[in-house]
Amino acid sequence: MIQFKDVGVTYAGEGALGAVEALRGVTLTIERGELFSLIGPSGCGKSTLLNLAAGLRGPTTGVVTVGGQPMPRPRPDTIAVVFQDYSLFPWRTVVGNIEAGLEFRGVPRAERRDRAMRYLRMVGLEAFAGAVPRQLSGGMKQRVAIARSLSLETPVLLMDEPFGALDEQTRMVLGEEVSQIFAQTQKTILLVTHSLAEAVFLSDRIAVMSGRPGRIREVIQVDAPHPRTPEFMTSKLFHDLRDHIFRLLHDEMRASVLGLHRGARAEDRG
Amino acid sequence: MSTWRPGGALAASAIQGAALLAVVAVWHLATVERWVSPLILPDLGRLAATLVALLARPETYHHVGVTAYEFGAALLFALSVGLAVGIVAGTVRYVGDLIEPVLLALYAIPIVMAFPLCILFLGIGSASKIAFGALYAFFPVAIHTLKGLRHVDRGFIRAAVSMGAGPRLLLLRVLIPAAFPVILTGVRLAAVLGLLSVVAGEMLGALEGVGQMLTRSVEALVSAEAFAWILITIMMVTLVGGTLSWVERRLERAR
Repeated sequence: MIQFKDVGVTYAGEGALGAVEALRGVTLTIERGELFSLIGPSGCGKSTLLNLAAGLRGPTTGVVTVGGQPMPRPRPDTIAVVFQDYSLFPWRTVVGNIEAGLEFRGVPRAERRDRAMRYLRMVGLEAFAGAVPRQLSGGMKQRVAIARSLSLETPVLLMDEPFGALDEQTRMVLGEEVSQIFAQTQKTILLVTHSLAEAVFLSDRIAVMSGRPGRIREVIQVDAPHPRTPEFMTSKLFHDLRDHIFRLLHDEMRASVLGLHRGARAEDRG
Repeated sequence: MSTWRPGGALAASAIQGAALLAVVAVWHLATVERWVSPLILPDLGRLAATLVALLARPETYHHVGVTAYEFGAALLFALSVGLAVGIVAGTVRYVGDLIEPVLLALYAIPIVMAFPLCILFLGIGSASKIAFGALYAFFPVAIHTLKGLRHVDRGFIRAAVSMGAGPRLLLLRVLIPAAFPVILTGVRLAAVLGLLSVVAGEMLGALEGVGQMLTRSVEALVSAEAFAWILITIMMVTLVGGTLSWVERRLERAR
């Protein structure tokens, strides 16, 4: 469904910083109906990969396709994105935010309200339809953002650290809810996260990335049925996988942090 | 929060009321004790009587009407041209880069210098006041609209585009609502500056309008009438301010 073929991205340098190579030689295929997570140290280009799949930017080298078609620009009929900062419009009510998305998507006015309410109910927020985002907690805002993306009824959903700004308990509850919703909706989902537990709990497969320039270090399969329950979190499989990813990431993070230090010292001398 | 705390709304209005009362008391003393000649400062009783008499005369409303008409026309010109320029410059990056420094540079010049030219080109009648007022009110509208649109959170735009918003919906549903408070500040400034510049224009050169009446009263050394005209102008400004707040609330709900 989503395919990266030998993809590289280099950001043009600005000022004292030279050009930055964010991704190199990434080849990855995300299957239809799969929940695929990207995890890696900060600056490993995982958000860049997601932006490529969203069509919000193009690759410097290589090819990105979604549903077999190359990605020159956003394709709202195929792909919906949940952003880390929620990106809810503060001047609109909760239901108004979802309706705005449906209007952008070209849904006729008469259908918008019903459809918006249906997805608000799915995330358990129909009672807050008339509230404005400012009145909601972070977790609630993210649920509205998820409802907005789901309401677009696209086959592909991209999520950029959707629970990144939330506290641990909220993440867990939201994670369980999301796991159930996803099991219902049968979407292809690409999730960017920095939480090991989240990645293992939600994903069918997880790509562990290495730091700058970002590359795929290993792809890990999670063999457990959806929707997953809290008991899964206490299973041996869950712990083994999490420990495995932790060891991979630990090496990467050390390398990435030490690499940054070395780079800084080199600049001091220069 | 209308409580008797320092900083509470009630405490604030009490302080403001006391200050106003003090001004009135000093004024009263100054006239009763003859610290100031009545040719310059009228006593409060005469001022009140003059104001009542003025408000009873039909010519007064003619002059208020002239000023209101000039102000309305000036604001209409300023809003239509200012919003158009601001929206184009705020959304088309190249045009914005081109126009923003020009607008800011022109805004920094004392626009009052343009008034003699307005008289020269448009005569002593209403047209010169409308042009002068519109010129003053144009800049805050254009500059605030431009800045408001240019500083809309990139996240809103990215989200809207990813959901399929085209240029029209992006402008109407995202950019303008997001920039709305900033644009409104510009409109507010424009209304205040517009009215002030129309009145100032009338004072400098006109045949009618409240500003001209004020100048004539001062020149004739009829201080009570001069102050009465000032009070009438203040009433007009207050009315404009109140109307703006009302429109603001209505628009805020419609956003």
